[in-house]
Amino acid sequence: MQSFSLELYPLSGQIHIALYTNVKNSADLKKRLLSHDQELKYAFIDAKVVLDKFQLLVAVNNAVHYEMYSKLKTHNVHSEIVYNLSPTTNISESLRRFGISDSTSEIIVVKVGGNNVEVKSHLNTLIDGEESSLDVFSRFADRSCIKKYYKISNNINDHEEILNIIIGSLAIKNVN
Amino acid sequence: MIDNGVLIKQGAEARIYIAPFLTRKAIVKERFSKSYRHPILDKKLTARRVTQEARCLYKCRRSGLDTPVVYFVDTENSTIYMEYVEGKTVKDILQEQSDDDEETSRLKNEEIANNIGIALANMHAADVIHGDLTTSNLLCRDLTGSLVVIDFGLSYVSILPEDKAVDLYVLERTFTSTHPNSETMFAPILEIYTKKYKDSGPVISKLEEVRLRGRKRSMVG
Repeated sequence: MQSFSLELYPLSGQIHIALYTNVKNSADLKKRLLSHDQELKYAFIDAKVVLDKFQLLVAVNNAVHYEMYSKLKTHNVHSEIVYNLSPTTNISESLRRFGISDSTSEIIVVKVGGNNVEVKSHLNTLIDGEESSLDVFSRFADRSCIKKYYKISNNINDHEEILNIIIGSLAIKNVN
Repeated sequence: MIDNGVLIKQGAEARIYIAPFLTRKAIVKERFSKSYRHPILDKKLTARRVTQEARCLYKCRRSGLDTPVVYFVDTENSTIYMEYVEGKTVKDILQEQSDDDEETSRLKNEEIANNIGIALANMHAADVIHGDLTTSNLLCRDLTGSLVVIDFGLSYVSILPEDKAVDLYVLERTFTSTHPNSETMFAPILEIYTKKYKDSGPVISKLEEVRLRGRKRSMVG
């Protein structure tokens, strides 16, 4: 797990990001999310749609920003993170594509606020899987899937350039 | 005011800071309110310009033009966070050239003109009008040498050859007025532009008209 702080919103506390692999209970986690289980104050993201840590941080920054101005489009800041990873404004599609499905085995978890030791131990009780180093998560990225979701043409293959287009599309998502 | 940002430039419309942003270094452009405007109008204008700038930056980036990547748009505070581009402006490059011998500077100019022509062709093909094309708004990226177009503060989307022609004319004037020895550079820029932009025909013929009358359209009749 790694922790970051948002320069613009220091009062929101630390942002914790963790990667879990070989997760076996994602169907159960999804069911609990859908029933608004208050214990799950986390964003659960399918690791295959995340190319870079910066992409996550940009989505988190957007979500925290809208929470601060009470302009959330979804129920809470954590679902807003998943929604903000998507370039479209279709909420159910965004959550379906970027959130976890019943069969997701690699999950990225993001938590806004809280103490990192507590977050870590709580996550370990919630998730039936192995915690892995964040450095490896781009290994799980599914490029063709990412290109499809972000509408990136097939002749762009450079990692940085794909990332740049993703970041841009997230940044202007709510500017319409 | 931007926390832990360093003010690097102050213009008539906005202040530019350098500030850290989520593990990267960013340029922060904050538009401020104008006290001489009616508050409601001021708010509307500022908000529209911020969104317009962000959208044009992204549109250009998507169409293959090298522009700063937009990181975050804060409409509440009329601020755009974008990529910090390490590089030199074309203006500085041209002005520093006096140290080089003639042959090196000729080659350098040729390459810059080529890059500018391609960039403008891409931009106009995407129907983005920059609105303030000067040599200080064109950078050469240190790392790759790629030409970066910056400051889309006055940019908008238009398909009219007239608007594109005025865009080119503004750049031509910059060359003739601020770079006395480089006015020959504009001809090759136009040449590349014409070659790379398939709908450049009407723009070039409009440019002739614009040259005769200046940037502003005649209001007579």
